[in-house]
Amino acid sequence: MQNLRICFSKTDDAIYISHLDLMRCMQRAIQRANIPICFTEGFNPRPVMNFAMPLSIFIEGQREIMDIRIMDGLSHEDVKTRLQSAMPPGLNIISVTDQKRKASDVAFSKYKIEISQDKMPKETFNNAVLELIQRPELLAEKIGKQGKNKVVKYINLTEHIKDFKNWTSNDGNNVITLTLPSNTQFGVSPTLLTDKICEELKLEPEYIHITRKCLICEDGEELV
Amino acid sequence: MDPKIERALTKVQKPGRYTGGELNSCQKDPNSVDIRFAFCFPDTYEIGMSHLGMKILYSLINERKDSYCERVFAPWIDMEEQMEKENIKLFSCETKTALDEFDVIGFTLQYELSFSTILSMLKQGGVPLLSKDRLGLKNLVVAGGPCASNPEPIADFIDVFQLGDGEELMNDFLDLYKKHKKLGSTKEEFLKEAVKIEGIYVPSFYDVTYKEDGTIEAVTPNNGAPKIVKKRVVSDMDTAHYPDKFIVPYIEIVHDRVVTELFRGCIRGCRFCQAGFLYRPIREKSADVINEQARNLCNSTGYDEISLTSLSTSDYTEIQPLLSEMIDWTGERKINISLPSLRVDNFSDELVEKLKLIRKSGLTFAPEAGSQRLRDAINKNITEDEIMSTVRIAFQGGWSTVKLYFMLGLPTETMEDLDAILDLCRKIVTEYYHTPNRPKGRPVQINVSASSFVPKPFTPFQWEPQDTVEVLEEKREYLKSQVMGTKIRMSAHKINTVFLEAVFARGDRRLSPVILEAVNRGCHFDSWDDQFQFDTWMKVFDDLGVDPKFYANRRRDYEEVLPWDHLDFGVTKEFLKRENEKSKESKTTPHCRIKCAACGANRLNGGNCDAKS
Repeated sequence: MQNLRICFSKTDDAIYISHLDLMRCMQRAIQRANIPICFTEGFNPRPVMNFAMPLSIFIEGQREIMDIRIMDGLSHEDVKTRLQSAMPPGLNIISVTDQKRKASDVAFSKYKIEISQDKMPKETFNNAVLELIQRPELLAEKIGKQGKNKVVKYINLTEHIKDFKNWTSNDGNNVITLTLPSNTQFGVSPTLLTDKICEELKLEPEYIHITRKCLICEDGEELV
Repeated sequence: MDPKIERALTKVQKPGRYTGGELNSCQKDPNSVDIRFAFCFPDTYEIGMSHLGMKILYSLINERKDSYCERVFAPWIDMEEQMEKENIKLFSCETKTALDEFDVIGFTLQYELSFSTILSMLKQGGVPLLSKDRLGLKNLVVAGGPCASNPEPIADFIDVFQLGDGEELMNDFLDLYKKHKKLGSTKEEFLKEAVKIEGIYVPSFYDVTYKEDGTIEAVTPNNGAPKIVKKRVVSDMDTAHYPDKFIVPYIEIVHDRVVTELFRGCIRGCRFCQAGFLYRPIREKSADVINEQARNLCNSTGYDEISLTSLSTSDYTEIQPLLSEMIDWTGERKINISLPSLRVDNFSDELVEKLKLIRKSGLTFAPEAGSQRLRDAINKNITEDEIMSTVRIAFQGGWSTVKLYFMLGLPTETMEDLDAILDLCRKIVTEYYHTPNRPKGRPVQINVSASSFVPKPFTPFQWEPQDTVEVLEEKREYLKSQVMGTKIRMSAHKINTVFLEAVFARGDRRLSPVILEAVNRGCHFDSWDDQFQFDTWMKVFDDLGVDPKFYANRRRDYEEVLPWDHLDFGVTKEFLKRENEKSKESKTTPHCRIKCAACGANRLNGGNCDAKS
């Protein structure tokens, strides 16, 4: 048996696949690729597979992590080639490696946000966003769950945003890059920020495209 | 993708319904083909993608170099709203092309309550609704499927109906269309040639006259159309086209698995069941072919479940050898085999042993009626002893939950028959506790599903009235009130929808304006309880002076011209009359392998029928 870490990207139309659907989709790809995946013991055997951090629908992922357990006999390169040939459009295998550290070490996600809007000049927009981020308090509604009940919590975005940068790209989009907490206990979705920006600046952008660049551990290293 | 569509997608609940690009979906250059075909399913993606007929025809059309078949589904309410807002026409999954740009627009008619959704889709796609308003050969609207057995209610909207099996008919149709498109023919020139193909029915080539009492006087063909249109039959299931790839959706669909067909047709002849007559004569696929197709499909899709489908799975003559062969390779790959449509009279110990090897799912049986008298009247051909022995085998095999289907409002039904439903359930509960090696420590659970009977064309009950809504409601409430305790649970279907279904099932062309008006007033997705607007429908009937009860609740004479009398689906009217008479005396007809009942369906298959031994 070997435990493998699959790094893959989820781009183009694949951003419309939800996490639950992605799991099913990967299971089937593994079957088509004829990779001897291990199954859990028990009444309802399930393939042994785990995603480091679920990615929300509509968000592009450039270096997503899926861990699987397979029977011995295939090299990393074999697994990569076979899996890649079974991938549906929009999903691509970047690398297959050993699991050097635990997937649960993930503490942060690095995002890039591209906003296309014509309501205000790009620089005005950038400055307005910067002003928002520098406020001591920027409260966002976060809908959480307490058992079966939905509860609304308020979190202070400025407290959680790290490595914030923003600029105007060559093709005229307002771009933001930032790091947000995402671990098994607590996570902040970048859409909380984009929703807040739209609300505060009273605009409805042409489109907003969010990309998760990679997953980062507590010590600042990327999860690989 | 069009940025307008992209923007709309981010605002709907399940964007995966509209994005296309799934594994095994077909990508072609639309400019490289002669015919662009939009295969439309008048319901949501999840339902349409589960439909086997669409998978077969999608693969068949796309195998042709000259044609490109794309899929179109009805957008759900949230998407519909976004599309209206952004001014987006209904588009195909594959290339996001608007519906009105297709040469042929094909609809599959799976249930009567989807009729209104057909119109709403045409409307959203910018296609004129009435056949007479579409002047050219482009945007030709065709339809096929079980409801094409009485397509009269939608005769005003559809240019061409394809009757029977589509595998060969579709190719003949496309060949002719291609020829006429190249010639630059008019729609009428094309249609005049099309009616010469067996299985093609062009409703506008038939004039219908009515008597004073509202019944049909005559249906007269014009333009050289045949007096009687025969359905098309595929004679060899082994060589009939079957896809080696299924599209694998990202989002979960209703039947998310590999499907293989065991046979078409049915030997049973239950008198209420339209499918049992429509798909005759019975034609089996050989076990080797099924096994091979299942394996190929598992390889190309990665699915972990195979469903062996037919109208009555345990009637497949090679079921035991097929299961043995399949269990060999599916077991190690953790692939589950599901066997829908099992009958209680041949549910054997051997079958249970096989079923136990594959993952355990629920067991469902359909006695349909509670009393032996009524089961005989509907020719269900199962005895209470058989039901009891089946549940005993199931309980011994480790099942403690069974689901039972019953129908309310069957012809000749009395209150005693309703009591018999509950008596039967109670006997099954008792049987459970008398089975020595039943599952230990678990209570028995009998889930009763009670639907309402809808008389359908080409069945022995095609002349029978449906119980009125009031009577059906009364029966349902009576049954509910009699259920005590927790071991028997009952669920009942909505009755208003069943009434409308009965109206359309045996309706005629005078319903076309009603459907048009209802759609203009916002009706569609009628089979969805939360979308069904019964009051709007009734108001439309009233405003247009059409009495729905004339269609649903009236008994027809044998002499009456029925709206579908000019269509031939194999079984003869004489046979149906004989069966209807026998039902009145609660006399059964043995199944086709015991004795041929001379239904007449083999006429359309060169005299051949697989029920003969």
